[in-house]
Amino acid sequence: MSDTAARPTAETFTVRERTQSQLVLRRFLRHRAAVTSLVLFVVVALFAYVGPLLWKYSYTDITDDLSQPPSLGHPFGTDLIGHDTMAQVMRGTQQSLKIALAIALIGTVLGALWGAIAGLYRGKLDFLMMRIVDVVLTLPTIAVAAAVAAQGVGGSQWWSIAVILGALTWPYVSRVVRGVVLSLREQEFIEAARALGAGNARIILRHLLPNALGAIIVVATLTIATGILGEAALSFLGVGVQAPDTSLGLLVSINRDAVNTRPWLFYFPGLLIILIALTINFVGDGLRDAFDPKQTRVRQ
Amino acid sequence: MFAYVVRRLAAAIPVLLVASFLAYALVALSGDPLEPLKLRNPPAPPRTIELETQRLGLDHNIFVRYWDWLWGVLHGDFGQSVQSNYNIGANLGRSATVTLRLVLVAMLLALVLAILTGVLSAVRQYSRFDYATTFAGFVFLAMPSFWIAIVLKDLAVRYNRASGTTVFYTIGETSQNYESLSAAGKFADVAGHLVLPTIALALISYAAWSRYQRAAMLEVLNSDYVRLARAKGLTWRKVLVKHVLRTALIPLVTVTALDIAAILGGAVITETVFNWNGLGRMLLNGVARADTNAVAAWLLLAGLVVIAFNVIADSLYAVLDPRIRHE
Amino acid sequence: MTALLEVDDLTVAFPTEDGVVQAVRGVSYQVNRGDAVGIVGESGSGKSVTSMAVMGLLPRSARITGSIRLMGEELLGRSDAEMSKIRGSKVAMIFQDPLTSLNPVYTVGTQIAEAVLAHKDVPKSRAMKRAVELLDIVGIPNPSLRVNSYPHELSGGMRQRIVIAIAMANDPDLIIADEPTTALDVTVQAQVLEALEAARKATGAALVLITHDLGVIAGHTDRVNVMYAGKLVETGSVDEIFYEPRMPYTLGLLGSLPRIDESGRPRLIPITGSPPSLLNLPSGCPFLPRCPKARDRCAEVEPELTATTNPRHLAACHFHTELATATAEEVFA
Repeated sequence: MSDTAARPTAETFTVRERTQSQLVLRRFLRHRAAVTSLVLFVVVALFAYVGPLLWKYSYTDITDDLSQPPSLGHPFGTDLIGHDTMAQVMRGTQQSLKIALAIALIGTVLGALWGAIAGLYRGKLDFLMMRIVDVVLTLPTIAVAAAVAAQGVGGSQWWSIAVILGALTWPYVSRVVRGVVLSLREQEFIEAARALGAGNARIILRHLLPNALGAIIVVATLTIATGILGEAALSFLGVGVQAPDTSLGLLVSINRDAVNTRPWLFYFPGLLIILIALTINFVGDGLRDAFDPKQTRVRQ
Repeated sequence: MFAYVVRRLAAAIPVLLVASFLAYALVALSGDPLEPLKLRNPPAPPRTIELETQRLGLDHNIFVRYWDWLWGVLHGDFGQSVQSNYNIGANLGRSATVTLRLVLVAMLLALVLAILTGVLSAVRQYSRFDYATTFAGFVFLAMPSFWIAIVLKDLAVRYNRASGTTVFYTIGETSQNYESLSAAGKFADVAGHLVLPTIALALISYAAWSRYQRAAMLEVLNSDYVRLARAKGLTWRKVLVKHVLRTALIPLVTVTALDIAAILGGAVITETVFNWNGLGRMLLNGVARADTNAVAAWLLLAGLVVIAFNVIADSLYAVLDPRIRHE
Repeated sequence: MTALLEVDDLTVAFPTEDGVVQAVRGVSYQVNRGDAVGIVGESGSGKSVTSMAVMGLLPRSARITGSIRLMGEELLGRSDAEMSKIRGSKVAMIFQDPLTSLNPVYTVGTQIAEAVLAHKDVPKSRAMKRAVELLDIVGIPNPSLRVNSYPHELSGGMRQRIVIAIAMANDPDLIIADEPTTALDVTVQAQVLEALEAARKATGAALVLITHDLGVIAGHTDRVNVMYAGKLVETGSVDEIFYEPRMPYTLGLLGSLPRIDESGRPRLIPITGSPPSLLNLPSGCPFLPRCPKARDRCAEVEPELTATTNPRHLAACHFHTELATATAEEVFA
C-alpha cells in the first residue's frame, strides 16, 4: 500500500549516529583555543626533548660568551659564566615536564581509585576516606612539600619531588572522581551489572572508571598544569630540583636578581612555565567542553 | 543554626588533630636537626649532642614527642626550637599577624575583582569584555605566583628609580623607622608595604574565582527560575540583582574557603620575594633546620586557619541557602 | 472583534555553529478571549519556541519574523522594557518543571508577591495578602502558613500550584502553560489541572496549553493545533482532531494513546523513527520518513495547511481526503 519509490529520500532526514569518542573529538576540534594550545604544547615538548639533540650547546657547556643578550648564536642569551640559556631552558623544560607528568600520573591514579572506592562503597568507609582527604587538604601543599623536600628525602632526585607533590595532589582528584561516581552509581547500568552478580572490583574497573573517564582525563590534564607550577614553586623556595641539574623553576629562581640587569635569564624560563601551564589549561578546558557540553545560551 | 555551627566544629577537631600529627611526624621523620652538629668539623663533643638530643626530646619515640608537644601547645608552650633562645610561640604570633594581614587583604581584593568581572562577563557572554577577561584569567592562572611578584617588584623598582622617590615599597612588611611613626603614619606605612604583595597574591585567586563566578552566573542565568522571574514581568535589572546575583554568589563562599590553604602557600612565596619577615620566613627557617616543633606549630596554625575558614564558609552557606539551613 | 492573540506566519531560526536551525517555520493561529487552545507535538516540534516568542523570552540570537499581535497590538520588535510590562500582567506563563521553576532562596510568598509588585504599586503587606488569597484559590491547604515556606519544603504538585498562583497574580488575559503536568506523577496531574481550571475561572483568562499528551488536551481545550517540525500540520476542534484526523502524524499520535473506549483495539501503535533535524530541512514533507502513506509527491512538495471538510479544520497532507475514515491501525500497521 505504501509507495516505496519515495523511500530512498528518507535517508537524507536521518542524522548519522556517531560514537561517543567521535563526538568528543569533534567537539574538542571545534574549541579553537584548545586545538591551538595542543599544537603549541607539542611544539614545546619537541623543543625540550628533540631540541637538545639538534642544538650545538649542551646545558652543561660553558662558552666563552659571558652575559650575552639574545643573538643568533645564543637565541636566549648566555649567563654570567657562559652557559647557553637556550640549552639550559631546554633541559629545564625537560625536567619540569617530566616532573609535572609524574605528579599528574601519581595524583590521578591514586585519586581516581580513592575517589571511586569511596563513592562506590559509601557509608562508613566513604566517611573515613573522605576525612583522610580533608586531613591532607587542611595543610598547605607548598608548606608540607617544602618541609619534606628540604631534608633531601630521596636525594633530591626529580622523582622525589614528583612523589611528594603527587602525594599531596591526589585528594583534589579523589573529590572530583567521588562526585562523578556518586552520580554514576545511581544510574541503571550499575544496578544492572550488580544484578548480574558483578563484584565490586569488576564494577569499578569495567563500569565506573570508563564512564568517569571524561572527568578523570580533564582533572588529570589540569593536574599537569598545577604540577608544573608546584615544581616551580618548590624549586623557587630552594627545596626542589638542585644544581647541577636544572628545571624551569630553578632557572627562574637563580636568575631572579638578574631581572633588571640581564632580563633574558629571568624571562625565557618564566615564559616557558607560563606557556606550558597556559596551553595545558586550555586543552583541559577544551576537553571539559568536549566531554560535558552545555550549549544553552541566554537572553539578556 | 547554632547547633549546625557546633556540629561543623566538632567534626573539624579530629581532622585538625590527625593533620597536626601527620605534619609533626612528617617533619620529625624526614630530617635530623642535629645533623649539622654531627657533621661539624671539628666534631661537636658527644656530650653536646647528648644534651641537644635531650633538650629537643629526640630520645623519645614519635608518639611521645607528639603528645608532649601537643600537650605543651594546648597550655601555651610551643616547645624547644633547634635554635636555642628562639621562642616559637612569640614568633608564630608575630609572623601570623604580619601574614594574615596580607592574606585577608589579598582575598578581599581578589573577591571584589572576581565578582565584578565574573558577573560582567557572564551577563555579556561572548562579548569582547568576556573574551578579554577569560583570556587574562587563563594567563594569570598559568603564572607562577613568584614570577608575578618578581615582575611587579621589578616594575616598581624601575618606576621608583625613574621618579626618584619611593612610590612603591618593595622590601619588607614595614619601613625601618616604623616604630618611630605616628599612628596614622604606621597605618600608611603598613598599607604602602601591602600594595605590591597584595596584588601579586590576589591575581591568581582572582583568576580562578572570576571564572568560577562566571560559570555560576551562567548556570543561574540559564535556570528555569530566572526564566519564570522574567515571565512574571520583572525588569532585566531586577531579575539580575534579586535572582541571579543573590543566588550565584552562594557557591563562591565555598570555593573561597577551599582555596585558603593554597593562598597561605602563595603568601609564603610572595613574602619571600618581597623580603617580608612573616610566616614565610618562619617556615623556611624552620624547614632548613629540621626544626620539628617550629614547623609543626606553623602547620597547626595553618590547619587552624583553614578549618576556621571552612566552618565560617559552611555557616555562611547555611545562612544564604535555606535548603542547607533546614537540613 | 479582534482576537486576543494572533500569531501570523511566525518563523524563528537559531544560528548555531552547525548552521541555522529552523525551529518555527511559518506558524499562524488565533486565540480568542476566554478560549482554551491546545498545542500538541513532540519535543523539538517548535511548540515551546512559539510561546517563548509570544512572551518575548527567546535568546537574543533568535531570528524572528512574522507577526504576533496581542489585542491587535504588535508585540514583535518591542523593547525588553516594554515587554516586561506585558509579561505577567497580560500574558502569564507556566513552565514544565516545577522543581526548578522557583528560586530556592526565597519563600514562595515572596515569589508570588514579587509578581504582584512587578505590576501594581501596592505596599508589600498587600502583596503578601494577595499571595495568601492566590494560594487558597489554587488549593494549597493552610495558605497563610505555607506562604512562608521555601520551595524545597513543598512537593512537586504543590510547587506547580505555586507557579500557577504566580501566573494568575495579575489577572492576565492569557495564560500559556508549557507542559504543566509532564514532570509530575500521574496522580498529581489531575490536581494541578484542576488548579489551572480554578485559575482560569478566577481570572477569565484564555489558555494556551502546550503538551505532548493528547489526554490532557481532550479535557481542557476547545481547539487543538498539532505541530510537527516547526509547522502546524493540523488544526481543528477537539472532536475533529480526535475523531476525524486528516494528517498521518495526528493519526499516529492517537494510535499511541491508550484508550478505553475502543476495547476492540488490540495494542498501542507506535510511530517509528524520530522527528527530523531542523538543520537544513530538505524540501518535501518533513513527516515523510516516518509516514507509511508517503508517495513521490511527498518528497517533492511540502504540503500546506488546507481546509478539509470544514474551513476551520485544516491539515497539511497531500492526501488528507484519503484519510477521512482511516484509523491508526490501518495506516501504521
